[in-house]
Amino acid sequence: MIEAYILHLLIFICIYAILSMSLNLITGYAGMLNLGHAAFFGIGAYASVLIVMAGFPFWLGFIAAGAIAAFFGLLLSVPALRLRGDFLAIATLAFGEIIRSILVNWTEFTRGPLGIPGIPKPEIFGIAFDSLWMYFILAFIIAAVAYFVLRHLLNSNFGIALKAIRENESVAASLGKNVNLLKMQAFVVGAFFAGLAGSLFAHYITFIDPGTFVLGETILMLLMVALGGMGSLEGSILGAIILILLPEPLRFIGLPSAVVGPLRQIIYAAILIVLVIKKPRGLLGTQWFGGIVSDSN
Amino acid sequence: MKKVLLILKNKYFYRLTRGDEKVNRRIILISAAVIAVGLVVFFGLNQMGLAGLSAPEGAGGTVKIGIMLPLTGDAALYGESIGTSLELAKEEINAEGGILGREVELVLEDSACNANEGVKAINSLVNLKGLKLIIAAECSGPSLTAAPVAEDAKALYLVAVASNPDIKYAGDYVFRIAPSDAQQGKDIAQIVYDGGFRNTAVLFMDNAYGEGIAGVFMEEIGRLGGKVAIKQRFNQDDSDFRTQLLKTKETGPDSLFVVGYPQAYQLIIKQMYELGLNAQIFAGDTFKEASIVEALGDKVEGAIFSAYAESNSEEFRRFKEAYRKKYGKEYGPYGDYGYDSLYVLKAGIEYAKSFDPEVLKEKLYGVEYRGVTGLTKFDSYGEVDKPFGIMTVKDGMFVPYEAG
Repeated sequence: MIEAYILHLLIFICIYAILSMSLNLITGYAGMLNLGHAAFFGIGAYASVLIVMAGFPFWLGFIAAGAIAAFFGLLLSVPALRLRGDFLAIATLAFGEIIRSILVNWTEFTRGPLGIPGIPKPEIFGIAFDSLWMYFILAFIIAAVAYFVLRHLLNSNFGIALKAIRENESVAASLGKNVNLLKMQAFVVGAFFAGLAGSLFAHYITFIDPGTFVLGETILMLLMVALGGMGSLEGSILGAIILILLPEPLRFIGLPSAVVGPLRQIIYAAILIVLVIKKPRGLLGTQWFGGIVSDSN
Repeated sequence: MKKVLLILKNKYFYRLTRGDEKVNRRIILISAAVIAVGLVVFFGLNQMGLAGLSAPEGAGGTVKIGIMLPLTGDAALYGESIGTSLELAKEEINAEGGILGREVELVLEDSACNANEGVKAINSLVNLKGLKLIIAAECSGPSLTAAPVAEDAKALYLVAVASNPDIKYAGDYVFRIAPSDAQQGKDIAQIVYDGGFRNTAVLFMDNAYGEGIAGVFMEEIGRLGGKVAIKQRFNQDDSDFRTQLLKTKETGPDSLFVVGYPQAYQLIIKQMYELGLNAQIFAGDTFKEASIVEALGDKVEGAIFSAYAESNSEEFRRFKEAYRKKYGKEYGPYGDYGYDSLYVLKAGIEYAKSFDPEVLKEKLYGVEYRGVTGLTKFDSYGEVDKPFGIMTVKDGMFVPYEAG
């Protein structure tokens, strides 16, 4: 029983690690504050579910989830190229809201706010991932692959160029880097992995509705990135681990039932505030979070 | 110029790559420390018995019942009223000797009315704390995501308030004491039709609740032979409905069916009057909120709405009185369903003479319990058929509606 509880948390950590790593690529490395990341997550979830429930195999839905999210990443990168700092943040925020509105209002397709229940557990080439252990293995493999792919990407010239853009766009451009193309690629890759995470999430939780993919979710991912450290993939994983596990010990404390909900959130918030004051660059980060918001170059 | 660029290049590229390498070495240390501390805390608590990992029945002849409810988030107001009502039921049951001689203990877990948090909450209840009896006093989203987890852990899962029609098919261990939205939409459509209204505008909130009721309502109206003049949605947080109301006015309906939360009702009716739209108002069960009448006075006189509870039964009056006595205020929304859920569980356990969910899931079908919310009797899906009361506003009071 305890095993099921721990496995469940591990699955969540895997999913959120993919999300925070992909957001870190966009926000931490390329320096573009993205407040619409949950939309990519949601697009991936809906794409995968609708494709699988239309009778196609899981692997197809899974890949399509990434591909469709990546396509939307490309769309978002078009206005993103023209905006910087807080203006970009507002544009991405609006993007997230647009996607939520579409999911809510296009009821023929998404069933709107009623959500989609009864999502089947995945099956890949005859292997059913219906037990918690199997699902954890699947999620872990995908998270590990995401980590190695992203690490390879970010240690290559591509990643270094992204960091250069974050530090100073003009310098990067003057060194012959195609800033627009790089930013676009950052959005596409980030959205792709968020879409994959969405597919993993939907098939694990078996019910999705538009209310799950809202700003609060993006903020959580952003916290993971900021806490772990902007511009550090390992930091994002650490951030995901901490923020998923942090509320859990608070479940054991025998709080009186009247205050258990609010008090847990207060403790959660207090820990975060202390961490951010003591470690403004995040635990493993190289970049100050505030530097991206008030980026004036 | 070349020199400057080289300096810049060195400054930025060199520093960054160096910085990252240094960071990499610290990772293993920090991660290991975090995991170690986590494990020590976890098993330490476990050793001290603080983690609540004991057997589901607990020590000293108590029975622990897991409760999922929204203590934070958008629906925290409902969580509070349901929680206090459950507490009241627990005290009453314990004062009368508990369930089969065992004292009831409630273990609360917050779901924040969020599908994602719901899974965490149920997981903590059934997998970590090993509880086998769960009441989901809960929004529809988390009720749906948590049901499969309870099903996997073979825990009885009693849904107290969620109204999403899909819960019907959620599993063998899943029962629900609240009627689904399907019922409510049908009942109110019947009243609209019987009242002689043939051209109804529908205005509803774009969430599971609004969508659920309005969908069934429109279907039923069509089946009966009435007409939907126009259907429009609004967002839970909207405060300006003039666009929708102007469009509604153009279609000249004789009646308007609105589904929203109390704040939206207030604004919609106020703006209706401003725009000179005259139509009979019909509303969902969320309308039963004193603040609407206080704010609008005689503007809402004659509005007709469906109401959740069987409002004039003996049981209902007793509950209302007991709640007022304990907390010094009126019970809040869905409190009656929270209160009943514990009593239904008690009735089931006493009927089955067992706390075992395996036995309960078979025996619950034989339970007939008359409580605050009317008769609870499960059909083969574990659903109930509770007729909605229809109420109206008369002299600023909510009274049962009588046709004609």
